[in-house]
Amino acid sequence: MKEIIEESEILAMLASEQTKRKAFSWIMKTYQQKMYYHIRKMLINHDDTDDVLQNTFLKAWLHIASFRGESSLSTWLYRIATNETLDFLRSKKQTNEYVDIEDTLALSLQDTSYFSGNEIELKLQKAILLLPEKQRLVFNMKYFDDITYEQMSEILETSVGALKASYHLATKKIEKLILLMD
Amino acid sequence: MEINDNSRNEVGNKVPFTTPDNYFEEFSAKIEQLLDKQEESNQVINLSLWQRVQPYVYLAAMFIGLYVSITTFVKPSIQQKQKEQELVELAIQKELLLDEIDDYALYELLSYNN
Repeated sequence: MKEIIEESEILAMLASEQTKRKAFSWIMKTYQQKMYYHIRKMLINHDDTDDVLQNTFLKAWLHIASFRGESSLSTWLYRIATNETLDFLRSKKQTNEYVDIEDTLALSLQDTSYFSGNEIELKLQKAILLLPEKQRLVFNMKYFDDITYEQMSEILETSVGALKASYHLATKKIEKLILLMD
Repeated sequence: MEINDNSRNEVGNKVPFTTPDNYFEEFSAKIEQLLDKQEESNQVINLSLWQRVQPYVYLAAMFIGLYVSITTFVKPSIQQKQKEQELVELAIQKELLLDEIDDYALYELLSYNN
């Protein structure tokens, strides 16, 4: 049975050298799936996601001393994972200057192993990939993860109003794109 | 298709991606191993004072050795070369002086000496 620990307890454990590692293991086991799917929805490819997830947790461990609990653990991890994902996409775009990364990702959706969706889900994923990066992030976080605009605002450092507008625009675009695909 | 809260019931908000079997168990183990390695390497970094200053001592000794070999072997040969150069220059100067004396002046000089 999974042990349930309060975040305040984790903070106390992180403060001590003896229990720091145990606390981090708990954090990793608790949040790895959430972070994996957050990254995977942006990168599509499993191997790329695995690399970025690994970097996310190694970075989290490296900066664990700076985590003071001003935001929730989940917000803090989402922020690291998001930055790592965007950095990865940026570097991929730089190395493949003449290739449209989003097109490549859309193509790889069908080829990718580990895609379990049906036809409608595939269409939805393809439409999402046609959105600008930031809109894609906002849409994924709201639609799939049901993250509140307030938490999203902390993660993406964007105002709630702008996020609401971004999500609204994203849904309208997706509707149109799906109609075009039919 | 309309994308709103109702559509989530229709399409579902399930993420349509899966992972290899036991991926998350193996992932945690992999990160734990990496952290263990990091901790081990951090322990190696805890060196004694001598181990910390050792590279600087060796570097200083290397420079001293270099200075001694320069002063012992290279400097005298440079000085020797300079002396030889000075002698060559002196010889050239003398030769030039002799060249500048014309035949009549030489005759006068020889007859005066006699």
